[in-house]
Amino acid sequence: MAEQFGYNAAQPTNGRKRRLWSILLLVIALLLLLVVAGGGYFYLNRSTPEKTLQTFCRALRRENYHEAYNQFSTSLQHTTSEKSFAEIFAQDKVTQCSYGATSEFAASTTTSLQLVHASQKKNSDFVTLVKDENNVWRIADVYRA
Amino acid sequence: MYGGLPMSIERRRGEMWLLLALLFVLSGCTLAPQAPAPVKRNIPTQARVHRLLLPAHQQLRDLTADFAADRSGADTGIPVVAGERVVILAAGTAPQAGKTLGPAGDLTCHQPSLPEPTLPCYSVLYSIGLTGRAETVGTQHDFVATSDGNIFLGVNAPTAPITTSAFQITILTIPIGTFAGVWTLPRDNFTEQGSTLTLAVKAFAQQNMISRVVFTATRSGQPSSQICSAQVPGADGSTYACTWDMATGPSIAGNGPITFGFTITSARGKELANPDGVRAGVARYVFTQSNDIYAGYAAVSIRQSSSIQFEQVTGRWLVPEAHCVAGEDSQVAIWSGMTGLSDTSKLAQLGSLSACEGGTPTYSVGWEMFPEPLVILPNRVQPGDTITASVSFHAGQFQLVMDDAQQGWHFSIDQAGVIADTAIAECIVEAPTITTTGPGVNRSMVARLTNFGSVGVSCHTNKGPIGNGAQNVLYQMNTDDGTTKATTSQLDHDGSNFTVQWKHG
Repeated sequence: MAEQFGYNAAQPTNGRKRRLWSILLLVIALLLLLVVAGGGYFYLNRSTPEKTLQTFCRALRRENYHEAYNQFSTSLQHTTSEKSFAEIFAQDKVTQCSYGATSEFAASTTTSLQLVHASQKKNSDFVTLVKDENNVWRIADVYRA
Repeated sequence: MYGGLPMSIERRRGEMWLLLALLFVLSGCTLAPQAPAPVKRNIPTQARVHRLLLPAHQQLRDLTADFAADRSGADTGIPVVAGERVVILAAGTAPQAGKTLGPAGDLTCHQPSLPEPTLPCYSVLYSIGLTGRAETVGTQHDFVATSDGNIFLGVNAPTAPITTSAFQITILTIPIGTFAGVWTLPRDNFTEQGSTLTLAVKAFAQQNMISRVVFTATRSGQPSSQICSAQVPGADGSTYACTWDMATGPSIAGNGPITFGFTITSARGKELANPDGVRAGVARYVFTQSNDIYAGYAAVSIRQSSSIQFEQVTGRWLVPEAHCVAGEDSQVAIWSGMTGLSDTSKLAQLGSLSACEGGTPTYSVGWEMFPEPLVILPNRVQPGDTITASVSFHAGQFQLVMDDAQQGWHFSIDQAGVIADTAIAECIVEAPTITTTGPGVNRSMVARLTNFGSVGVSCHTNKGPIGNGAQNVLYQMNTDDGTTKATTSQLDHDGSNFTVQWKHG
């Protein structure tokens, strides 16, 4: 009888527990999903050297020299004014811009950068990118290959 | 049922981990991300010498070289790595702010408006990398790189109109354990004459020692010869110089085009030949003789030989005008000729004579087999006429030939001669010796030298320009008391042309 009572008494308790477990698991799963989705969103939208170079190249091709100049680090911007930077391209616009592989797992990364001008003449350079104080990758140095 | 609940939880737990793992993978994360191979600078193993011109208007912080297709900028494209020794040499001047300034710029000037306010105005600057610290170069700057980067060069000047002036820049990059050197003297395409010639290089080592620098010379068609060496640098610690006695070594075989090289030997016995290439030019062993009757050049063959040394000598000049003062008696003779080395040699010569007779200019032409008397020709000649006079030797005969292009006459005469009198070929401007003979009179005196202004003489032997082939004697016309009567210029690069300038009668 006690066993039976016990059995009978335990049945609603187990059911509640199961529901509680299910709710708890669902909440945890949702939270995890939220965290993962949020993390994924921020991860996918994080700054990378490649994105910086992509923006730089796209801006040059579109003659948006302000945006291209903004991909420079502060110290590089101190060496050349935006006006001077824009003047460099004024006479022979950039029609193609390509770059080599980059790595975001070090403090800085250096890669190749090729520019093809409207005159069909080319520049082959190396660019070094570093993260600024806001964790944004910027072009910090440029030099002839 | 009891056993079913835990099984269900286990299953869901497993599903949850699977979901998380899936999300983790889908989010792009990998536990061991594959980083692309980074771009690395090649570690240099050899020293290099770079030469370039730096426009005086080029600023240091200029991206043009990197981003423009046609224009140069501050980026030299010369890479250095940390630990490498770098030597930058700068030369030349540029007009800046009303002054003519060298690479050091205006040391008294510092302007806040300049790109580098704390460094001298208009000084040549360098930096390692575009954003590296700017430093002055001066005429020589020597340092060990502390970071990797390209060498950038510029001038600490405001934005200025483009000028044609430029500084000559030499950059040596010397990796650890290596050494290098660059020429200082002579300059490329040099023309040097005299009895000695100084050769010098600047040599540098990085974590190595220089034991000696050996200089070599090569004449066309001959093997290279060591001519001198230097083991101790000069006061600047980098210049290795030696003086070549041109009477020794390959000059014996003849004057003219020559190529110099140098080899640096390190303390470890390693040799580096011609790291800055060779220097090609003209070197002539020229012995200067001062006397009171001759100016001009002679080519001297000192070889003991029974064969003909010079087959021909030809001089060409414009008959100079005689500038006479009232009552002046003076003469100047210009001639080409051949003679020997002994006191009994005859001198076969012919040329023109510009003179003042009682203050009146006179002009004539003549020939002579000295010491036999001068023969004046009846041919007409005027100042400004082009005279071509040659003496040649063949089959025991000297042939003396002269032409006046303006008057249109041609003169030729043959005279007996000996092979020994072909050892010297010369083109001379002379204050003639006047011998007066007569009853009870037999005296010789050097004529007063007519003021002829200057005369350019072109002189060749059958072997080419008089300055190429044999050793030369340069005659300067001075009196015993030191008065300069006429000066003879250096031979030109070609070796055939020189100028004689009248100084005193």
